[in-house]
Amino acid sequence: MTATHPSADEAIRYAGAVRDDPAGAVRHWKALSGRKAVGCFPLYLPEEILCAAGMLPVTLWGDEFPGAPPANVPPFLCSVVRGAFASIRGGRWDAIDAWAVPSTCDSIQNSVEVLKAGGEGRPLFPLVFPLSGDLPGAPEYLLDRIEAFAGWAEEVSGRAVSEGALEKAIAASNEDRRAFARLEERMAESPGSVTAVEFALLARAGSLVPKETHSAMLRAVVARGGSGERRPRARVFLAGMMAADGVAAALDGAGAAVVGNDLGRGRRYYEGLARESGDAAVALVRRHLSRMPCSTLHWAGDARIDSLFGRVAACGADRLLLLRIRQCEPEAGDEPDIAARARERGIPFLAVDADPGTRGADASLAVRVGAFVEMGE
Amino acid sequence: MRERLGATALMKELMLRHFQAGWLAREQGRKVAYLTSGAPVEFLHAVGVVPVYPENHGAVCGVARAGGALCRAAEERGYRRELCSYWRIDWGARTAPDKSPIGGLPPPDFLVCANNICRTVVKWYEGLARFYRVPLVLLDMPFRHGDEEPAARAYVRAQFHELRGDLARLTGKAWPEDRFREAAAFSREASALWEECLAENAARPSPASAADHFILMGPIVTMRGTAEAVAFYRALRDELRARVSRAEGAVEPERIRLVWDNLPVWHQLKPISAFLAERGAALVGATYTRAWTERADTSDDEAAALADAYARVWLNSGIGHRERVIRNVVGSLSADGVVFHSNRSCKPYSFGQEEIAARLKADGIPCIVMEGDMADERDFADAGWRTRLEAFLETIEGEGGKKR
Repeated sequence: MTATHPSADEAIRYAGAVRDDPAGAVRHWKALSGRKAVGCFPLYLPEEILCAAGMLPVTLWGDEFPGAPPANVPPFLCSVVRGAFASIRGGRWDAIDAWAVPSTCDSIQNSVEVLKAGGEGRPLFPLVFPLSGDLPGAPEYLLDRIEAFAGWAEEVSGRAVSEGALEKAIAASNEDRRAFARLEERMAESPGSVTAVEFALLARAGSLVPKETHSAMLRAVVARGGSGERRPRARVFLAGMMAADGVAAALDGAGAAVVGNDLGRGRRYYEGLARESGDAAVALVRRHLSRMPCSTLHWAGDARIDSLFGRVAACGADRLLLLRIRQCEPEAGDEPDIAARARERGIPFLAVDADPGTRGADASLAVRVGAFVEMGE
Repeated sequence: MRERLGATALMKELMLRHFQAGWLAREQGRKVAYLTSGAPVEFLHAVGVVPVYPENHGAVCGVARAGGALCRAAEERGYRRELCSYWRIDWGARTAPDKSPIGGLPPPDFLVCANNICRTVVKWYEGLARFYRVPLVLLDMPFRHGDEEPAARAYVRAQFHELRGDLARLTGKAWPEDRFREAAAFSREASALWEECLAENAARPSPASAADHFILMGPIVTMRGTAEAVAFYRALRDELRARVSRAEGAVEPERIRLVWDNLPVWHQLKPISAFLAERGAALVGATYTRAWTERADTSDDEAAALADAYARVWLNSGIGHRERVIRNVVGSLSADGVVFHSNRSCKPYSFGQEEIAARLKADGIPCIVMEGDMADERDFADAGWRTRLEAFLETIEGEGGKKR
């Protein structure tokens, strides 16, 4: 898809094509631009730095190559890390020129070490961010890391990360975030206007294509007319790390509408704007330190759970579906308190194992999601 | 069978008093804080707060084989089985304290969590803060992928400096710098003595096994910063030296010397040691016990010195550093091989072991990676362990025979 103003159908078709051949999409971009691509581990990296250096940030969620043979990593790692290692070690990401790995969790943080020790020859940058903006010295420390990241990006790309390029990259990323927020608003205002499968495809595509392209895709879907809308059987809020294809299809199959989300590959990734004036690096620091509550960052007290249920209420959801990635400790740690709060509030709640690519799991998932949707009809 | 170390009985008494202190704190007008094993307890001793270690409780429950039942109790509350078993044991003991050999832990007045051992503890302690409705002090120590970053050092130091004010507020006491310096000095001395204890195992036969060390490390984890810990490790060191002078070994005859990587399988400590000893194999060292030899330099700015030391602990460092340490331990203890416990409860310790093992093997150091869990006995395949360990020992003996 090269059109600046694609139709909604074109946008969705392209998102599907990117899902089906993510490495092909990256190779295509590289061939057109003559530039480099950086593989990023989830969840939070100041991708604007990479864009300002003329590179394409490509976020790996581990489900890009469902058929990749398993890598030799411990069985107690999550599917995101296992999938990423399987695809990297299996040679599926040869189009990637370098790797950037944030300190999202113990497993992802260690990934950079294991890649290095395993002989990965491409440049690697570990970005260790502060766990909370409330800690003394956190802004100064993060600013230092962001500047070091920019220096690394310059080395990898051979292009300077100028203030002007960074401002442009921030503006493009902000536009993409605004477009995603509009998509979410539309899903809340007109339940069913965007299917769960479409939402999952669009959320994923933003990890794989340039920001400008993704913004155009989102705008096209938001602008789509509402003639196809139907009255949903349930208005579901999705929590968890990501909605894999199987669960999205199950929701659509059950006649549910996704009206809000707290997904890692969703709201958490796209939320929050960086200031477009003033010092650009400082703007990235501020954006990171004022992120919405997330299981991978530190928040005192009930901040994350309050924030989650505040958004459940704001989007008019009548159910909360927690999509679990097995072995994801940050998410699993919050789960009992999320479940307890849902019970207190009388909100129907279900936690399902929704790891992508689990053979034979889709049928069982569909049954569970279907039963959940039928509850309280 | 050689006699037990005399220090073991003393240690049990010390640990008993440690656990009792938490329960008696309120009667004594003292506050109780839960803290992670990598948190700077010296600050708490300065203000007279009783430190309580949920991780240590997990280990105690593991040794007593109460881990599975407590984990199950936590799972019934909604905690997934894939979570760290210490974490699950801690939550399990909250609803089923009768299943804990020490009746669970006293409730805390506040929490101190340092993420230099893992990020799991952050989630664990956030949950505790919500449950008890108590303040949580977080110490964020950036993981060191390579050399220390000056900005990271400044960041950690800033938090350690602020900790003094936090604790003064939480306890309502003025910050007693003299007591803080005294606690830091005790901590340094205890750590140096502990290192000397471990170093005695360079002798052939080694006077203690790593299984002994796992048990004897209780005070360095929970009581560093106190005069009692210093006295205990001085006595232990002297006892070990006496053993060395008499050429008494923990395993006799000692034919194979092994190093252990990762936390022990607490519930199998005795059976594994006995199994190895029957075959002339001694665990002479462990990376985990060595982690508590890290200590602060003497400094006018004690808080900064502690910040630097706590930030460079074993689990907060990359694989390259860990590999170098393992090679040093293997070399200094003249070990014949390494047993890597791939511990499903400790992802940061375990993810990367395969890579380290591969590099050691390439240099002719025999290694084996064994899967298990430190405290949940439901995740342990006894027969598999025995078979694989036996084969490993036979391989080493074969190789050693060739070399000898």
